[in-house]
Amino acid sequence: MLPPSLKATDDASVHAVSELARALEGILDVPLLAQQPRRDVALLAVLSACGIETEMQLVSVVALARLVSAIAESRGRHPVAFGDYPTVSTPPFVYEEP
Amino acid sequence: MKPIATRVGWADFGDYDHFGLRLYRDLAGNITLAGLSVFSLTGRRLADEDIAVLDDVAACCHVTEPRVWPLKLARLGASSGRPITGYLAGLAVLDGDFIGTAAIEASARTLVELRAVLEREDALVNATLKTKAIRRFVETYAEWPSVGVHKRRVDERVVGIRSCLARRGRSERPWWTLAEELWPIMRELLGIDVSAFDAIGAACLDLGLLPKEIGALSAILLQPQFLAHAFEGAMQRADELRCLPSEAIRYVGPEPRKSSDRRR
Repeated sequence: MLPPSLKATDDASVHAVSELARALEGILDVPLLAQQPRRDVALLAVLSACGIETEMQLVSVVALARLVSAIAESRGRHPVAFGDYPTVSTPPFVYEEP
Repeated sequence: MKPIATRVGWADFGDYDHFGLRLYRDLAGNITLAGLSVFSLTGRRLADEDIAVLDDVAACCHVTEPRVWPLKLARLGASSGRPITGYLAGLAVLDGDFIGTAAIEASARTLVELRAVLEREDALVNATLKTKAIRRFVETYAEWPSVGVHKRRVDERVVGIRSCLARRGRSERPWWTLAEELWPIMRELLGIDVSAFDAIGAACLDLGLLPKEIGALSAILLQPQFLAHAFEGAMQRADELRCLPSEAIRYVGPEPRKSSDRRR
């Protein structure tokens, strides 16, 4: 049984994981996907079912996969345009005297 | 195999050779962090009053404002919970062409080139000739390196460095003097205000450092600000920085492809 902390808590995640399970029907058997896991847990379960199991393998696959979207994101901006990127629009800071 | 020569040093029976000195015998206990930084770059030991200028520059460039974007990057990286990840994210900014160490080196190099022109035209001591030569230099320089000042009228770091140099009686040093003559002309002709990068370059030239050395050294002088924000950011691990709020994202591409559709 999947511990509650590893279960999806929002509808979007539940939907995303069920879509993943549907996409894998007849291709790869990942029983854990039926237990409503979080997205990251589902991802690791699928990779594990593919035989990607060691820390080195998992880190490499996730890093490579994320690189694709990072490259795509960087294409949309010219270099050093950090001020345009929403992540740099951080929440307000408040100074507190020690 | 051809050996690679190094003057930096190597280990030798319980001590290290370092540019002709012994690390524990000669340097440890007798040198400050700033002094060691200069020595490790140049193999030259600066006088204490010169080292104090480097400390002044570092203090004047210590930006505590977390909304300045290079420091936001440090906080963003540090939100992983690891201070050094954030530290390195911030430091990456220093390797840019637009701002950072390259800009500082370029600014110092521009001053060196200007001085060479003034010497060649025998215009160093004649005030009228000098001003005309500086104006011509500014007007004809191919790629002016100064980045200017953003979102404020004056770069407070320049004001700070200028005050520190004055307090130490170093305002009349040749490179700083030349820079102070150049900057108003730069403002007048190019609309570019003097930034901290220009001031760091000028102040360090008066310490006898070369532009390339100044560029590399400035990375050290600018460290503490990244350390401060990276450390606090790593301790806070702010959720707001770790996960981009969905309201901050606007997708403008084609409709998402449903991967399951492909199988049907």
